[in-house]
Amino acid sequence: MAFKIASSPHLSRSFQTSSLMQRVMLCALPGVAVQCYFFGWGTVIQALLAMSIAIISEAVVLKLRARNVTQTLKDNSALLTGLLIGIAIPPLAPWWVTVIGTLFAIVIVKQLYGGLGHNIFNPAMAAYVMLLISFPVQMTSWVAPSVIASHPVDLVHSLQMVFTGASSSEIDAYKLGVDGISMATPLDTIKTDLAMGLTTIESLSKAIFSDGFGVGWFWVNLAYLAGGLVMLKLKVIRWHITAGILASLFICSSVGYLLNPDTFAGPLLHLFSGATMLAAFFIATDPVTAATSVRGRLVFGALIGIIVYIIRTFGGYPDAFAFAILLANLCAPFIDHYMKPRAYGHRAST
Amino acid sequence: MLTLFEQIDKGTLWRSIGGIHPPESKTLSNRTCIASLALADEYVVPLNQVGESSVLAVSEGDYVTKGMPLTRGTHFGHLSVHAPTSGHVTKIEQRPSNHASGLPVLSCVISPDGLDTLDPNIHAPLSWSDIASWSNEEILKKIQDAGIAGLGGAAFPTHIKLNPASDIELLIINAIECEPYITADDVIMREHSDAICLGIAIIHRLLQPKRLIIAIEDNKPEAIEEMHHALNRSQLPKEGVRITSVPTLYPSGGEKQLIQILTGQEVPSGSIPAHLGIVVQNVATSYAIKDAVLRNYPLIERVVTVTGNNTSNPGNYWVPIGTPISHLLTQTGFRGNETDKVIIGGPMMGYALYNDSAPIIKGSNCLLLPDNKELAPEQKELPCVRCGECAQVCPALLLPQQLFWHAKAKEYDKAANFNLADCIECGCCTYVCPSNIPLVEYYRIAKSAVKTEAEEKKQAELAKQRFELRTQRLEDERLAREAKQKEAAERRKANMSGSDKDAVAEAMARIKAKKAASGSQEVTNTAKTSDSKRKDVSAAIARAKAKKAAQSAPDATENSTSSAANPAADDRKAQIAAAVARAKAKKSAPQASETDSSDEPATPADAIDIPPNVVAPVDDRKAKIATAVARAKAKKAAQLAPETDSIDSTAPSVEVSDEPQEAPAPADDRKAKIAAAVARAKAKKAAQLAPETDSIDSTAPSVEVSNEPQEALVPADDRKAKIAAAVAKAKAKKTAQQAPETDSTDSTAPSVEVSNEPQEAPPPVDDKKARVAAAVARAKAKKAAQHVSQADSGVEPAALVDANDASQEAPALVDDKKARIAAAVAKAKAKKAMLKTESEKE
Repeated sequence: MAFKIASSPHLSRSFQTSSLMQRVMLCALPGVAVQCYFFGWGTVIQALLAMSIAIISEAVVLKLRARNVTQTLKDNSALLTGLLIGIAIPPLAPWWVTVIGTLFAIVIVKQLYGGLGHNIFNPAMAAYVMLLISFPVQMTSWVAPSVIASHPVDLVHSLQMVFTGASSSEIDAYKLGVDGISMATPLDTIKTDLAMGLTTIESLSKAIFSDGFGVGWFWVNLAYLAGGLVMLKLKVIRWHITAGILASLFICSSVGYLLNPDTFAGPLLHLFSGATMLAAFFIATDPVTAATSVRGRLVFGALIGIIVYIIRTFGGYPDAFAFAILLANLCAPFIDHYMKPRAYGHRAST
Repeated sequence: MLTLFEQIDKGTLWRSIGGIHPPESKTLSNRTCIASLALADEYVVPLNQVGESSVLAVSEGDYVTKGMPLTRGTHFGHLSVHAPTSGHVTKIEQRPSNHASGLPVLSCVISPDGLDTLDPNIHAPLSWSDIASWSNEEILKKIQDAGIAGLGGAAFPTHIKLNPASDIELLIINAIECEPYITADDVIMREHSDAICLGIAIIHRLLQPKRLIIAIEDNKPEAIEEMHHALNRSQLPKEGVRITSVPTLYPSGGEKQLIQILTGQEVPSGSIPAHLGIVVQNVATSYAIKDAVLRNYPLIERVVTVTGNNTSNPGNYWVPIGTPISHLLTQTGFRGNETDKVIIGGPMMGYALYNDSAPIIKGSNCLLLPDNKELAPEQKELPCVRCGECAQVCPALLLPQQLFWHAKAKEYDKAANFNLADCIECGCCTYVCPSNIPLVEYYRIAKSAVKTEAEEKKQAELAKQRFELRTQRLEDERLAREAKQKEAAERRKANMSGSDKDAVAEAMARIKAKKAASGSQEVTNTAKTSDSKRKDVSAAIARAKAKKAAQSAPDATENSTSSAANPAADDRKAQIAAAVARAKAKKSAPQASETDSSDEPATPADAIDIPPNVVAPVDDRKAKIATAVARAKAKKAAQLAPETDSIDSTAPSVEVSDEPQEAPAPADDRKAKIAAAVARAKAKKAAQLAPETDSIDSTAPSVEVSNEPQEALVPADDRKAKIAAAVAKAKAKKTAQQAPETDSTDSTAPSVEVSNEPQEAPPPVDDKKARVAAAVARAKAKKAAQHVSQADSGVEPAALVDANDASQEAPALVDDKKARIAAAVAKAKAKKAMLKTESEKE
């Protein structure tokens, strides 16, 4: 009798790329929820919008590339990209910003490079940077956290703002805090204040901060941290890149803070502000565009952390994860080349 | 800081790299005792080593008893195979192998007689004290004769492993059995722990290690328990011997991985554990060793785990080596069909078998019969997302992902740079890959491609060498052709002078006269040597020597008698040598005539010697060649004679009359003809030289013309011989051309050189290179001779003696190509030396 033949091993862990992506999205949910709590429904609207655009554009491109559409869409990677774009974009940004960003991410950054596994840059971050440079006003208009806002945004207003467009006066209205002062993001605030000659302490005493952290942003970061720890536990991601980012950011900001606490923000502010936890756990850990070896990933993460600190402190942008990740993506092949691990039975890596 | 041994004694374990925890599924098969099977209809014992390191010891139709060896070793790496039961050898033929490829392999098919009669060499077990006095060599011999191979799967010959070149500090008994499903080692430890410990004691005795670790994975608590008890009862020393429980992790049972876990050391890439002073031996092998050493019982059966959802009787079985898988399947209630897999080995490293007529072999530890839902379903390969999980689990610390990129892109050199060769194909990377990429398959393809590439490189190198040789040969042939054309052109030129018919007639007349002159002496010679070939040879040798002696001293007769008694003359080569000697004698004869007119009678004597040779050795090819050569030389000598003495001018006619005799006799002998043709051609050349010095000989060229048809008859299939002859001839022509330019009295010197050629050319007809070398040497010699003649005629005799010396050396080693080349070189050097002396004189 002749039997079916196959190459060993015949066992396999039934853990697929699709479930990997799915878990990443699920683990991001707490963060999204907290973000919604503080900044209104805009985040959810943006995320859903970006996800559907991502799916549609990916399907179209796959069709054009004569690939198996349903099979590829099942890997959930486009959905994840959409979600990350939705989270990163200001909640009340007009719909076309999201659409342009998502199309750019899926069509140009991902599919034109060959699809999943072949893209050099993180699609979500490349799209974010493109949007930030092209539409700086829309991309920096974050609303005031609801707890301290004079006019918290509700669902209807959010939908209205996103889809029918909003005048700058309307946006400004939502940026007003309870004290009637227009609010930027904490990192933006502190940057502006420091530029204006205020000390960190003076800046931190503003309404957007409470107990040394940005209002809302601290909790958002904490939620992403929790989600990230779950991912680590589930082995959806490995700890190396995240640890590299957080450690280097912590070390850099500590050194700065110790040198001059008046002009440099403290390490905790850095770690729990802006996109730190989201990027460290959910974005930078995208394996496709990261370094692959253990040591390589530590270096990759550290590089991101250092670039973030430099841009946040000395650059023109309040936050810098998108730039840092793209720059690190560029370095990934280089890092891999020099961080080749020593194989068993070989004395030193060559 | 503790030493390694102290840490081992403490039971320290080092962290292993990578590894996975696949579902174990071992309980399926380790609940029952080891069972036996009914006899199969036939047993197929693969004879992999036959032709490499062993030969067959049985033939079709032989009756064999259980445990009788089927092969005999011819090499130390040989591993005997034995009849698994008693019966008849029905066939020895190609049968499907138990290998992933299923390619057929030479197998011995035994049809059992059902009696299972044990071989008489197998005896009741000896006790430990019985073998106390045995030497290590005796024990190793027993192990080799029993055909013991590593039973862990790789089936490496145990007698080689147990006879390491270096001292062994640590012996590890591998009872890890980390692959899911397999429980063969587990149950054998539970049921035969004492026998195993006895086997381990034998290994311990052979290797004398400082420490012994029996490593068992912690998912086999019963086996650990049993082994502890058995160890306490055994002969093994209590100190330095321990059982270490190792955490369950696949693939910690890999030799390199186990060494790392137990000692923290890594086996260097491309090396073996013995270089670290470590030997790892499978636990089931030690059981087989005990049987082999104490009972003389060869490795003809082993424990095989039959497991999986597709069998109704999962468990472990004693299965004779050579049992067809199909028999095992029927006996254990196989429920599957053709869409199912039959895996030999475990689910991680085992291979799916295509044909169930393949037999169980020494390395088959498991037969896994999964149903179609049991193992991983086949899934489509997705693009790699570079998640790096494969690198996390790789026990060899490789970068599977990088290897994959390069293997897929067929950049095998780059893959090799990422240490492809260190991949142990454990399958961990494939197991964890979320994109269902069959990584190990890619590596296997890449590995074999790397191997093929290396092989092709080697082949290309060989082809290059062959091509260069061919180019060289073609070039040589071209040169030869050109020389031939030149020769023909010259001949045409020479033909212009004199009428053909007159020339032939004159030559005939000369030959006849010569024959007549030598007739009287011939009678005595024929009487002496007519019946015996051997005598001929020795006589020829004697004659040759006599001639030489005649040159130097008058005691020639004494010499000839003493050398005639030479007993080693029956050899063909001796004949050739004799011919050579004769040829030289001839050479010296004209020499003598030139220098001293009183020596002249020697030349006729020479000619007289030849006829008996022609008659006697008719059946001997080489002898014929020799005679032909000799005759040719005689001719030359005769031709030379006219130069000095007008009475001899008729001698060549004798030669011509000899030719018809020659033609019928060696008709069947191609080579002889060639040789004869060559000889004749040379004789003609020599004749050509004559006209230039003497007007009486001006008719000689016509003789040459008449010879040409004969040459053309030379079999066309012997190209090389002809080429060689042509080359030789061409050279002869050249010297002939040059001769006239020198002194007319010296013109004989080149001809002497020419006469050297036939003696060498015919015997080594199959040896191209030697001839080329010889020709080169001769050419040089000729040139030298010319120089000599130009400079000082008094030096000439010395040169000839030199040449003779060298050629005397040559015949002795006539069968040796190199020796001949050396002789040629020697001759050339002799010439050079002469040149030197000449220049010194100047």
